[in-house]
Amino acid sequence: MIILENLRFLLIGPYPTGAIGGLALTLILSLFVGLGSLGVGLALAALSLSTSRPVSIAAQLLPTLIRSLPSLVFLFWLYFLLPAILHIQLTPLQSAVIAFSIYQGSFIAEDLRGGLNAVARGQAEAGAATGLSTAQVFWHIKLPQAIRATVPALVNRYINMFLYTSTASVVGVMEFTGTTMLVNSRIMVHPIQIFGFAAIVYFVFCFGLSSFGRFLERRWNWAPKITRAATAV
Amino acid sequence: MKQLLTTPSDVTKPVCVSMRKVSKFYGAHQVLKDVSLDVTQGEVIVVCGPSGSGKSTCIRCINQLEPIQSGEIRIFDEPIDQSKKGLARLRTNVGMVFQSFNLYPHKTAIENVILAPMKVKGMPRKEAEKIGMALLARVGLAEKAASYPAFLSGGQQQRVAIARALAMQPAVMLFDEPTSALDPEMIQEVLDVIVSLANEGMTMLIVTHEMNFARRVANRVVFMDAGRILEIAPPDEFFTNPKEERAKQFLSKILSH
Amino acid sequence: MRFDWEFLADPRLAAGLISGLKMTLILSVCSALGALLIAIVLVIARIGGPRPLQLASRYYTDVARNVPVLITLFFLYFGITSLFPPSEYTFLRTPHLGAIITVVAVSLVMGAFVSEVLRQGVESVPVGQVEAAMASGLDAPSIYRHVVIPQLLPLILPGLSSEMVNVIKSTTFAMTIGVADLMWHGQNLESETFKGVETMTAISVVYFLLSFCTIAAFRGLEVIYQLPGAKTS
Repeated sequence: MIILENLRFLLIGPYPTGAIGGLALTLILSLFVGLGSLGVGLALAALSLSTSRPVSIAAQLLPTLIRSLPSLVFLFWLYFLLPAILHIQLTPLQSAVIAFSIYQGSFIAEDLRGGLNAVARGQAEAGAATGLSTAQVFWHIKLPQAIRATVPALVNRYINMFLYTSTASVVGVMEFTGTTMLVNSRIMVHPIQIFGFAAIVYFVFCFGLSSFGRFLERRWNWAPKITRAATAV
Repeated sequence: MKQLLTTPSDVTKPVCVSMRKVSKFYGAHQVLKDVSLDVTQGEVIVVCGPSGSGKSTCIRCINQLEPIQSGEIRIFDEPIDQSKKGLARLRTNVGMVFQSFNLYPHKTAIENVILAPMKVKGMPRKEAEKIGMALLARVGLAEKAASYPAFLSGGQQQRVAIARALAMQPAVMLFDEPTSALDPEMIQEVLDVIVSLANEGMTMLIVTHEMNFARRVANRVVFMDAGRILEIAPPDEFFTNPKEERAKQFLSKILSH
Repeated sequence: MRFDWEFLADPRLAAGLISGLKMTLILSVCSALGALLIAIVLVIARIGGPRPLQLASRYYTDVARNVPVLITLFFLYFGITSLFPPSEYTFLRTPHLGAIITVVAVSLVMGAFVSEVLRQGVESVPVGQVEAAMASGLDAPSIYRHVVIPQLLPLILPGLSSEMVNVIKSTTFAMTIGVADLMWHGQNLESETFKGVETMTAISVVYFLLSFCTIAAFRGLEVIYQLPGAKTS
């Protein structure tokens, strides 16, 4: 079968005779973007709480602007912008990691702020009423509950992140969608099998991740929210 | 098996609602067990009991909001026609007032009242509005006809709900804990409307915890527990000298505070 | 780097933007309508249909939301052109084949997301409303028309707003199959003029305005259809 003949290439790209690619690269890409976006998101959320008003406003405005763009447009924009500003040449892969980290980080920042706001005001009041300082209230009462409130949204966000690493293939990154396209352009006559296989692989990973997320939800008794309903393309 | 007072004392009036050995299950759990009751025209029945006793379920079966698995319910001695037309006819004859009012939030008070007469009975708007305004006046809310439910107090909303149910000119009115969701100071205005309906001879089944009100208005009190009717008695008898042990326990808890 | 502000007045940029915007708007509107149609069918099947239809609707929704739009697009495009080669099936030889397939692909995927928004809205209408309507003898069509739908609209408008923005974002992938949308023109202009930063900045601004207008329009609808006495946040 076509799939089996090309399976190695689809899964790990031209490695070891070339750089790693295929599904392995998708996973690596997702990992880096996952970490990067979390950092960006935390930074933006923290800055939005800053006492300096211009900083706080900027930290809320920037994600809003970025979130309104399609991820492909943002990727292309940074792909041209970063070399021009930083005066260094970036590979498509590096551009993708940076672009997606900032892009998804903007969504995470919004989710985190939502989580912080979701903690009922009565909680902070109860803490203050027993004599805790503002910082103590934040650290011991608001933050833990905010994190618990945000995790479902974060899980949805990570599932989305994994799916939309496929966008990187448009700028030439040879992750799973990229290798699938390459195989299809070589073989040409079995697109349904080739892209069908890719669809199934993505589905299995994605569905598996959201099922795992729902399992975690039930174990920790959160209100069911992991649905892949949150999306950004 | 001692005899429950299932048949009313006044046998000259026709029987409006008749339940015979009605049983209902939610899955494997039986919520109504062999419920039998006859209600004559003009009679006011108060149904009371601990929570989970099946009292709300019992009256919701009468207008078929809940289906029954065994037994029979007859309205004016006719079995219930399960077809769409039959159910529509049933619900024209039997009106219901809910614990949470359930007023349509996107319609004004008068619009709430006239929706069913216009859509179910095909009444022209002018005629429906006349009847509707008269009913709103009857419950003391004529000046709130153009108000939306969000701007009415709980007691006012429930009175509009009563007017809405009366708009279909039913023969029987069902009340499912009409004052349980109200703040204490608004309970009386709703109870007063119900009492005036009783004085006009409306046949009613009322599920309520308001025991003083029950003493005033009921012809018979039905005590339910765990899906069964345990005792049926006129209010004087029931409140001063209940026969069943569970009824005694229930009354002592309810009347203590 | 020096941002070439004069390029912004270049007629090639304006021409590309206008042409691309036209195509993007057509793709977005058609996909949105298609998605809405599919969503309504899915919700009716899920709520009111016989059990097999209910399951089919659920499975379709699960699959469609867990595959990247890019893969779905390629699957349909290469699959259809392979099964029905335009050289043999002349009716497929339209120059708009790519656009049509894009609309179909985006509708199929986004229809699943919109159906979730609709379904959650229907389940959020208080059951007591339907009971009260039933208790006064109203028949099912009247209940839907006079009681359910007016209360459904304010519940679904926010969700529809974000999914509509996602539809616009999904159309950007059309450039990979040669559809001359806004994104395609951006890349085309860059390859002609090498003014990547300026071009992509302009494209980003246009996409931002598209998102902004969409969100503003839906906010307007939310205000119009809000329930009397509800607070607008």
